[in-house]
Amino acid sequence: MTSAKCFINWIREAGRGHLAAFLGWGTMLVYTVLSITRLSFDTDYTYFGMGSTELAWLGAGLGLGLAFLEFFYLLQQKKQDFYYSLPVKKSTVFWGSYVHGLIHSLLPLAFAMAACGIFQSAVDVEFASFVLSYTGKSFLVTAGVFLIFYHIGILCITVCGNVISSLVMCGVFIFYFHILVGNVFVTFASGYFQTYYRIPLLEKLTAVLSPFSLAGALTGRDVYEKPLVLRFMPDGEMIAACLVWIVLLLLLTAFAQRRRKTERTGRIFAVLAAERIAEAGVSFLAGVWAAGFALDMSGLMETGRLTAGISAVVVSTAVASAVHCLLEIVLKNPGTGFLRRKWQLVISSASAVAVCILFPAGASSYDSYFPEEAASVGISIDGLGMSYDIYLQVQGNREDYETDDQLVKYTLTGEGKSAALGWLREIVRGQGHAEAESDMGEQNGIDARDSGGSVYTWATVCYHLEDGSDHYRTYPLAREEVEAFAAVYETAEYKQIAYPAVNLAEVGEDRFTWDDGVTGNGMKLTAEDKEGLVEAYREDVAEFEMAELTTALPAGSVKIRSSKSGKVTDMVVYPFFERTCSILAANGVNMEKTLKDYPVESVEVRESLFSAPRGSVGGVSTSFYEKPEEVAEWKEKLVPYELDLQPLLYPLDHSKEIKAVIEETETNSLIPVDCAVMPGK
Amino acid sequence: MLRKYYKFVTMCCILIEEEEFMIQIQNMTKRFDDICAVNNISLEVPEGIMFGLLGTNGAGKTTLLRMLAGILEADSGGVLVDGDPLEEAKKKIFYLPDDPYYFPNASMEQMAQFYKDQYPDTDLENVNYMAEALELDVKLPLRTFSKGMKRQAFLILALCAGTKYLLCDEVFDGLDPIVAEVMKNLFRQEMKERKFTAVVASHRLNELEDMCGNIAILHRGGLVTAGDMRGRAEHVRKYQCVFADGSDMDRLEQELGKELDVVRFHADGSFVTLVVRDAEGNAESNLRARDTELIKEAPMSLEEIFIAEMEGKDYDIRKVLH
Repeated sequence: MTSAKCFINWIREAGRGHLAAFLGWGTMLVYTVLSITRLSFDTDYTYFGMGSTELAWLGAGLGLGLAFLEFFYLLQQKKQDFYYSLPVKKSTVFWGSYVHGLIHSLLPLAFAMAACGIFQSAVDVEFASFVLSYTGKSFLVTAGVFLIFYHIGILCITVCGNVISSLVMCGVFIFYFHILVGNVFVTFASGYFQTYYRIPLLEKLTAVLSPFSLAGALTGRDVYEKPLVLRFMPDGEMIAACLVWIVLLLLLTAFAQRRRKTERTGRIFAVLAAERIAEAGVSFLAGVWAAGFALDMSGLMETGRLTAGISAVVVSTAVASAVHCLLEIVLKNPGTGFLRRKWQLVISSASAVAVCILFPAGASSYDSYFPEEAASVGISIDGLGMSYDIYLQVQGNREDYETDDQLVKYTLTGEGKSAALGWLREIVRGQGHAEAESDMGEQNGIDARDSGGSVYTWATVCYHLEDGSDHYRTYPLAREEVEAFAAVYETAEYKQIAYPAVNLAEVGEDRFTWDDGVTGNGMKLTAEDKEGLVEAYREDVAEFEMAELTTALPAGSVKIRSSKSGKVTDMVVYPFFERTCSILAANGVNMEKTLKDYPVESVEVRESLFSAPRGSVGGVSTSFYEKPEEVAEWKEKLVPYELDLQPLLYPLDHSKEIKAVIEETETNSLIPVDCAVMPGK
Repeated sequence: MLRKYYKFVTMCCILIEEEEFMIQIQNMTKRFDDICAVNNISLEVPEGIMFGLLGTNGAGKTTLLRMLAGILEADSGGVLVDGDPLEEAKKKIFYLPDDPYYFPNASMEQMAQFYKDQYPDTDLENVNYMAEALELDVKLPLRTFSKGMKRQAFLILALCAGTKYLLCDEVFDGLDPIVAEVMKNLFRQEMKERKFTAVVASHRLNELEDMCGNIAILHRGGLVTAGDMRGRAEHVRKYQCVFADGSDMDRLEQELGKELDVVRFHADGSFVTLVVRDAEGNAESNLRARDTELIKEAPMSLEEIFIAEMEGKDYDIRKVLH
């Protein structure tokens, strides 16, 4: 017999509908079957736990789904009256459903993880040693994700009075901070801050405050390689954030459950405090979002901070007030005044205005930031030490992975750091002057873009401070400033990073291949020759100046494949590397051989045309040059793409897509080589 | 010896106290935003009777019952059940709404078992017995029952729950007269067998008049009147008279109005139906002094009592009469 006062029996009663149990166990059963099926085919890129995007989504979906199933009675007046009329406390009914939901989610999850773990350990030897740690961690992080979304769902149902408002509230809860931080703040920062590249604090806030991002970070959604996935441990900050989310939401839910008015079932909100908070929060977000959107679309932030700031204040106030009034119409009770909650309107509008002012007001101090001391400096200059294709992508801000890679790769801690800080100090100082001129220009009605000098390229910098914080900045560079970068470039520390072959040692057993951009040929060198070549290269690299890179393209590169790791290191050889060139020449490498020395059979030139002439299709014109005199003429001005390693310092003409077809007599085959045109030819 | 005497005195005290226990509503108020659904109502529901709550739609009957059942919390005031706060006495109360909830696909038998889990005194055998008497199949899902059958089923469940107090909200509303009579018989029969208190809310007096002695009238959240209407109407009498001279009834009405406290005067030829307040008991002698051929005191219907009771109060009793 079930005692009315017995909590555990109310957990049983909560399962009367069996839907929650069906959802929890059914979903996990399907997931287990699918995972085991996939694991039986592939264990290298199939992850049943961490690293599985599906599991993160499943945890989130199950959390929301179970919350709605378990607590749907709060939205049904008839059922709620039935439960509340029984001799049992409201809190017992509520927490009985809560525990019932936990049982029918965490138990099947544990079984699913265990089953998948046991199966994979049976078929995958590599996994066997990780079976306990990986399975346990997978269960814990998925349970964490589930609990976050379960609590969000319960809180939203508790504070709302009907299904639609609960669902909308869930959406607001899940996406609110992602929109505010990841969208609005980033838009303002990137628009107002001229030196903005990224702000780690905003990124961290987005990851921590957005439940979906947090779920991704916890489950290692961005980790793909099996050894990394098996050893993956979520960041401590993410674990702490997860726990805070879970506990905070639980406390809020407990509070809301006690404040919930039964008679407000069916209304939009069942807890008045939640109504006020949601109304103010949504009005504020709408205000700043609209301001950010308007400024971003109009491009006002790039032209002048003052104009943009005033516009943002006007737009945010208008939209925040409009949304507040709109919500009042939806939420207000019959007979109440239209402008009730005036102070709430003032607070939400004022907050939106404060945010709109904060960014332009802080822009100068952000842009003029320069740390006199830093633990290390990561630096990347667009077009320096990257191929033309990557330069093209980085230039248009379409991709930043290469910049991020370089910021890590070119992290200077010694003499390079001192030189870089010295160079950057001048850049920041120049930036300050340009900004002052820009402000003056704005006040005098001159477009800010006209007042600055011409931008040659961009430098992105990461200041790693002693306190562990990172500060990213990106600076526009004039040509002279790029030339001044020689002070950094010519430090041994920077060159060791830019020319990694100088760090090689014990290369006697390694394989050396000469590649001139067209063909690669193995080099027959003795161990001493190899060591000698690397040593000569080391000396040449140490001595050459950055300015020399503007005078010549590489003659080719020696690719050194390590006999130990198999890793290939490129030894880029310029004609002014005299010692290296002489050793290579002495060992049979024709240093003078270029594309024109190869038997070019034909040249194909594709050109994009903005105004397509008659006879051409799709705005692209393709010409084929096969006559000896035409081929000979093209040969003189073509350079293989592979030699275009310094597109900033030695720019080639890439206006046409050119493919030279070379006849390989030894193998009787044709080699297509992508080419650029030498400047001025 | 002394211990036995002490025990006896304690038991007597308990018995005396139990006699006094009942539902005591004290200054209860409930507002829904700007609407005051229940306005400072104080009421005592005596034990062992069927108490009627009468009022038009929106009078506050359901809100009051939902508060008594512990579903809603009062904004101010409170309720004592047998001297205890409601939270501690909920096991003594069974609430039967006008449209009761049942689990999807649940049969009457399953619901009875569920109620047994909540109210341990539920008599499952009696549920089966009463269901059989009313030809209800306890194994069929309740969703397959008609409205009247559902009402009967839940009334059986409510009566068999064994609680001391039963709160019923519009349980007879919309039922055909036969089903309504069957349900009333169920009520009467059970009340005979087991002494419990029922509070029945209705918006129609004729649903309550043959069951409830004590009735409270609610209007716009407030209490208009409450109590044993028949007891209060002891001094109100109804006479059916035949006057020898039935030619000038208007004059007769005026004369009687001056001499007696007439509540209602209805003449049909020389046949007059008269309702008078007669605290001193001299109405009949007054009438006999006139030229009457026949005087007969007739029993008063609850409707007539209400009309008499409501006279002078700002409430149109006709709203709940039919």
